[in-house]
Amino acid sequence: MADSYPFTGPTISGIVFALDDPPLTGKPVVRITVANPSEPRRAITLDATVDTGFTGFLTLRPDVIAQFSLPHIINRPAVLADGAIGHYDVHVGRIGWHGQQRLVPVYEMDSDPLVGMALLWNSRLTMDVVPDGAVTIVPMLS
Amino acid sequence: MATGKAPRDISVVGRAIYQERIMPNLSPSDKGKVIFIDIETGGYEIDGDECAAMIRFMERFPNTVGWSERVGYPYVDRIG
Repeated sequence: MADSYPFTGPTISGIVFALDDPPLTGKPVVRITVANPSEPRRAITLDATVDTGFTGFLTLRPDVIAQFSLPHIINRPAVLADGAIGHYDVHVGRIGWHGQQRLVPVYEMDSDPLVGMALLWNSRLTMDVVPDGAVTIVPMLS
Repeated sequence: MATGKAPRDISVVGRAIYQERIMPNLSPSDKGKVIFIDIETGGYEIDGDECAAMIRFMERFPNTVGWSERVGYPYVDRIG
C-alpha cells in the first residue's frame, strides 16, 4: 500500500512471527517505511525480517523497487550463507528510521525484505522469542 | 541502466579499475571501507561510512551505474 507521511517514529516495532504450528521457530518482523529518494511523500509501508546474519542495510523485492523506481546505482559482490559470491544490483532508497529519513543502499533480492546489521548499527534490538513476542529497535544514546 | 553495459561488463570493468588503478593508492587504514567506482571515468568515492560515500557518488556521477567493493575483502556484504 502507498502511504504518505509520517515516516516511522523513534522506535521501530514488530513481532516474532511463528512459522509453524506447533510454533517451534519463527522470525522477527518489523514495520518500515520506504520511498524513492526524490519522492519522499510517496512511500510504502512494509514488513521486513530482522536478519542479524545480513551485514548490509536493506533488501527489497524487485517489484517493490520497480514500483517506486528506486535508482539503480551500483552492482557489487556479496556472499551468501553457503559461501557463494554473487553480483547483486544495489539501488538507493529513502527509509524512515528512528524518526528520521535516511538514504541507504538497497539490495535487490527476490526474498522477503531484510533489515540488516548496518541499519541496526547504534540501536538496541530486543525481542521476546515467543509467538507474537514484541520486537523493538530503539536508538542508543551516543 | 544508464551505462548501457550488462552487469557482467560492469563487474569486469569495475574490478579491473579497482585492482589496477585504485588499490595501489590505498593504505592499510582503508581496510573495511566501502568504495563506489564510476566505470566510465574511474572516479570513485571511499568512506568508512558507506552511506556517506554513496551519497557523494550519486552527486558526482548522477544517472550512472557503477561498481562497489569493500577494501580488503572479496565481497561487500554477507547476506544470511
